Amino acid sequence: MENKLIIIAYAIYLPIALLLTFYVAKTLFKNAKVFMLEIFHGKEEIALATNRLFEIGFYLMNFGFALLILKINVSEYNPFETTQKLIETLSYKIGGFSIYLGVMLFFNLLLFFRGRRKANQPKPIIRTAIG
Amino acid sequence: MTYNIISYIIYIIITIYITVVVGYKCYKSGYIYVLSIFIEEEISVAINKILLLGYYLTNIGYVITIISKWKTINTGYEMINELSIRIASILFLLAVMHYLNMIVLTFWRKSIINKI
Repeated sequence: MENKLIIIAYAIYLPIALLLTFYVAKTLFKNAKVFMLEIFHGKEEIALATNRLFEIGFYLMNFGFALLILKINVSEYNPFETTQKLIETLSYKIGGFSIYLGVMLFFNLLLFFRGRRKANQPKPIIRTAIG
Repeated sequence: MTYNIISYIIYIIITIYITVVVGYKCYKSGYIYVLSIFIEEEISVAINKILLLGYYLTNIGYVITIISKWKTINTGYEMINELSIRIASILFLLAVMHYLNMIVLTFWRKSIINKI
């Protein structure tokens, strides 16, 4: 028994979730460049590389989560038959994913703040055997 | 088209419009606060943009998620009732979060000024 509505739901959900992730990551890491430059004291090469690495991690994690929550369970209690049900399920999935993305965004921002604070602290004096 | 679908459409249009407009206004006038906390201009522009994006994601996400919890609506009278309650609760939530934000910003700013 193939349920056409489920295929439609997947076809709507996947592009929205993936494009949303793409857009958020692009905006976040375009703005994160300033942070990275400050954390690495203006050394451009390593700052851009770190930024790129963070971006890859963000993509991996969020694409993974988006695919993980894709499945729609159909049972006797939850027959997936009406358009209303389709809208409700989609809203729950897309909205939940959006909130998750927001939390991840703030988490990344927190990491940047932390890095910036650490970078601006005066370095402790390291005692060497010669000194 | 049942009553539920119609009310979903009305609800989404109104709440997303409100969320976007409120966010944009706060983004515009909150910039000075962010600037006074972080001092450097370049970094405060970046922070302000990321904050706006985070606000949009969490709030619009919440607004959309709530749709799945509605009851079945049978008459136009029920539709108006349900719509007004739902939209009002979103407005209240936004107001409370806005005030909390302002309190946090004020205290943060005070502590930074005291430090200097």
